[in-house]
Amino acid sequence: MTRRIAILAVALLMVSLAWAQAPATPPTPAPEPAAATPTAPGAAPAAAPAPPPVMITDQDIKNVPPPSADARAKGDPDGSLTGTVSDVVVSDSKKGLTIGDLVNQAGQNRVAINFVWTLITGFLVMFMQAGFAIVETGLCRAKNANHTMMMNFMVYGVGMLAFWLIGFAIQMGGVGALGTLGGTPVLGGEYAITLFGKSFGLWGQNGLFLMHKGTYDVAVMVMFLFQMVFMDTALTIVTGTVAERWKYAAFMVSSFVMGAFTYPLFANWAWGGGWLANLGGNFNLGHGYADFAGSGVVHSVGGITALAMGILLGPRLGKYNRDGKANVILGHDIVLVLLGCFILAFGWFGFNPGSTLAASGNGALRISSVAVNTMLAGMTGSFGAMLYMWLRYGKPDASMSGNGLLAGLVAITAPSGFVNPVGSAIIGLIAGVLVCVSVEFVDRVLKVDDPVGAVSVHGTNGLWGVISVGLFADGKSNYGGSWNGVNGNVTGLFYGDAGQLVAQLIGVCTLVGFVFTFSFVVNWIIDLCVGQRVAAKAELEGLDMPEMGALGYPEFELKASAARM
Amino acid sequence: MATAASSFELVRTGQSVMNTPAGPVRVLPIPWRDPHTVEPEELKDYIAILERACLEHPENADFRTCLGMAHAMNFDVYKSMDALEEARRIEPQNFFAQLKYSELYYRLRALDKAEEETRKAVDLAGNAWELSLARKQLAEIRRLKREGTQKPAWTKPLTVPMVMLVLMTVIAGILLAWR
Repeated sequence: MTRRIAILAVALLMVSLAWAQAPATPPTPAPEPAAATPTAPGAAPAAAPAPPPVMITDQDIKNVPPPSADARAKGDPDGSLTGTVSDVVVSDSKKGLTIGDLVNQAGQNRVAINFVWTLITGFLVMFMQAGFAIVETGLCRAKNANHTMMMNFMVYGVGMLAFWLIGFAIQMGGVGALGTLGGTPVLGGEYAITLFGKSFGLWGQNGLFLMHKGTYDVAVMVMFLFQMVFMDTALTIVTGTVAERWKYAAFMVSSFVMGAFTYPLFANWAWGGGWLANLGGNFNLGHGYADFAGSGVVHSVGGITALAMGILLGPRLGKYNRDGKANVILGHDIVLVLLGCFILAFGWFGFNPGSTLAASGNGALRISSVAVNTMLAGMTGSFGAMLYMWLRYGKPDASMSGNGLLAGLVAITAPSGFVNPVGSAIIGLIAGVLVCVSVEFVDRVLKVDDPVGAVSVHGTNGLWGVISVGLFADGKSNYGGSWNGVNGNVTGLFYGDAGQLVAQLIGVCTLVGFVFTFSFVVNWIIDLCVGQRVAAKAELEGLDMPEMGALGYPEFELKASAARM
Repeated sequence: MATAASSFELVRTGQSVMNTPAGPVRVLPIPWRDPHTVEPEELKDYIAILERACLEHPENADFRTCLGMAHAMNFDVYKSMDALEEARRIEPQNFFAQLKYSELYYRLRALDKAEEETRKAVDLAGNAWELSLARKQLAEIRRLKREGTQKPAWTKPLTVPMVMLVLMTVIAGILLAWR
């Protein structure tokens, strides 16, 4: 009975969420104003003709009085004297302040706002590494704590090195002018081939070491920092799936390759001016592959690579019985897990809203909408997973509730810039249920051992996020009038554009086909050269001592630590 | 019986066997005083001898149990699992076969399975010493379960949730398109 009521409640929630989008009655068209005077949204139509524009001259500007020295000497407790005409940079002191100075200052202020916004959100994303580290460590056994933490710690450095040397150039080396960051054109070296009379961008060529071909540039530095932390997020996903059995040396090599090639290649196709982004311009498929903040580029690439690695390395010893039945292997600290989920949710406010790469101009004020969408999807994701576990297994499982939160956040990452709050709530709710089903499927049907559920959280829900753009994008977002070079707004199937869904599905096929195959082959070669899996003895003893030479919890009593019988 | 005795001589661990005149050959569960200091070569020889003994006495559960333990000491988990499962099949009432099988899962930290199998060992214990061995292991398993972070054991069919997911998406789509 309780179960039926709960299912009914979820169904009612779905219906009401969807219904909430429909206006009760169609809005009555407002009478046309007498004169076609542009008005701000919400403002009343002007009754009288607008007065003629007033010309401002350099002399007018010079007449604006700066705060007096006496007034400044008393301090500025209310802030009214700070940031005035005296703070505008004058280019020629002989001429004094001119309109040109004002205009330049306004332009620099806009770019500065965008720089600061993008950098700070990048710092938030960097902090997500800490969240990933403790989520993964908490879900693994105490005997592997140091090893798991060290992988999450060093993936930051290894990935950054690879991305600085090679990856950034491949990903962004052909993206063209960075509009919101000052329009610097130095990243204009996309290598493309021509097929069917259309250009297919494959990889960028400018930006090696951040010095190559004029890329020693302030805007490029901002772009590098922001893209680097995204790339690192993808890399750290893999460490979760193959935790407790991955040889540390192999991890270093594999992560370097992923940061240098696997991630940057797909990111170029989606974000760097590559062929997926141009599906709209080339084949009229909506706005091409649209992935606002990286459900596909970051999370699916990480999750699918994790799947390839999970298959390659095989399950942990004891995970499956001889008859193929899966055993539960416990984690060791749920407090760490849930704390890590909160840190990740906090970092996601950098991940999604930061992906506007701007807070000023080009429709970037939509950062508020993006942030709220992110919150809502995370919330409904955790609800979806918690209710699923409660209904099916009798308890609101903590680890899966955490995974539900992350699944909602992963799923909303691609559509966060294109959907409305109701759409984001639905996407998150479905993601919360989907992650439970997917974890079960991966565990029982695919028989891939994934101690933290990374394949499901990031891989499956990343793909769901990509698809959901093609379904739920409401056509109301406008980032400078076009997306991927196609005029108009990104619109999904439910709002009338089936082409967008096709573009998204092509992205999904590319992720599954290319990323999985490439990752599997590359890591198979690494396996042949270095060996990916630790020895059984090390695995059973715990990887802290054999691999790292130090225990994660040296003062803890790890009872029955000997692997021998 | 003579062949089995000669095998034991090769092991050179006289204390590891207990040859009761009337009953079957029994091998004690602890062939070495300190299993951590056994040389790999000695272990390899021991495994080879036990494999030969198992071939010669295919229906002897004790040899299989010892072989399973030796494989576990050699970190060969799945061979150990196979040998112990075979021992249990041959002699379902063999306490040590059951106890060591459950201990293998306990060492692997597959605690649900370990608890289930150790409970069977408790039922098979024939004396106070055996019972204390099994109960001690059971207590340790329960402590680890209590102190660990429980993860779900996926035991139910996936059909209903799959259908539910598709329905959720379809309903949302229809409502959004219909508005």
